[in-house]
Amino acid sequence: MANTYCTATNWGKDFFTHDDRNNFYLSGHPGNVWVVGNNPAGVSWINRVSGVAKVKAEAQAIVDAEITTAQEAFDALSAEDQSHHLRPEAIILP
Amino acid sequence: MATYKGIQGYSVPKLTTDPTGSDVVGQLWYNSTEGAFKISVTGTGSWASGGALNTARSQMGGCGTQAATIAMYGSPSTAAAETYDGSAWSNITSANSQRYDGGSFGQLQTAAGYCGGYGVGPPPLQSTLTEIWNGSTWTESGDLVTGRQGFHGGAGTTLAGLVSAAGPADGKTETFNGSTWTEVAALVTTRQYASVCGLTSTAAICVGGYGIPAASPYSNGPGSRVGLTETWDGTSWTQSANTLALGRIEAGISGTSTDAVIAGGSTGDPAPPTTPTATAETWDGTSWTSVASMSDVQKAGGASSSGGSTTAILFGGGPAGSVSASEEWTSPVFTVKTVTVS
Repeated sequence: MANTYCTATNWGKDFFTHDDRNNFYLSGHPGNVWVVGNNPAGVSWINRVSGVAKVKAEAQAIVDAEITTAQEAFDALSAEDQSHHLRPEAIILP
Repeated sequence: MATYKGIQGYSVPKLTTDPTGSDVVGQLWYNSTEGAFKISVTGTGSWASGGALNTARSQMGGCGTQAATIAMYGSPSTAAAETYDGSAWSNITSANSQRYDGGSFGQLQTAAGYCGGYGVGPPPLQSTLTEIWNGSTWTESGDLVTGRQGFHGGAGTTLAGLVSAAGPADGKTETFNGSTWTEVAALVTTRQYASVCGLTSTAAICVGGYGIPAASPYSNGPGSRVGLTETWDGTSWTQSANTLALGRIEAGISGTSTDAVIAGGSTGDPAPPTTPTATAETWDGTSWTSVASMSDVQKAGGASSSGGSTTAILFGGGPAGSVSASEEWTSPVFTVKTVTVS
């Protein structure tokens, strides 16, 4: 399995470092969902940031719910306001 | 038994602490505190997390360096401003007018300007306002010649600034002399939400953006993302033969007309739908090179203005609503490695 999934709150500086980025795949998504390369360095990072493990379907569901909420907020805007922003689109986790 | 001194002709330095990696690339030393041999190596550029904004926002302005940046204005419409010290953001005095999608110009955290954008609605209208931050107070300055919105970045300083690539669809550039804006030449290819950067008002680049439909002066309707790069020489724009690897709009950009990094934004051609991206590219004055991606996809975020292609910080934006996260770009990354010995 190439990736593993978790939720973790990005606290800011040093949440992930340059070394982390060079040692494993990492991508962040709405809902504090993180896709992490499944190697020892990635697993160590999940522990360091107190990540809560999720299976891919759970992680995708969190992202989907966030996107849906953002889309509903966009759709509620006036046509004028909508013209100043881009409608959030679905994200498929890798 | 062969010794290091015998082979190399000199001894391994014995140090109690590791030196700065960038100062000793390729050198070997012994860290007596840790009891380990160390070496410094040069790695490729990468993105690391930076401090989180106090106010999540997108479509904002940014000026300064990676370690001394100002974030100002943004959407949801705000006049809030914050400064970054390399690790954390701190709220500072808010500007006098709430706006977003305006142009930002200035190379310093303590000398930053913001012009145009959308003012407070309903309906939000194209603004001509300019405000200058001098490190302690905001002061209103001369108005843009034409109310404009859909900027992303800008070039120059608060005494000699430049903004371009915004609606309406005249493609006009405006330059600032510290008190007055003047309309100058138009882009070769008219667009808005393109990323603009440059050290001075006479040397800038305009990258990507959204092709404005001729029938719609400032709509976000059908159009195409373009990967075009144009360079400004103080008089006119010239289109580069080389395009972005990935055409994008509202991407964060930092640097000069000959040394810059661009990251994030939205892609897709034609649009909509839009696809936020985390990818990044660097510019050497002639062509773009793909480099390591950010961790988070980011569209419509802010960026530092100074630092070339080697250091930058992108903040806010987000694929769904606005976020407070930031990411710091450093290239190359110098890493101290422990040498395994048997």
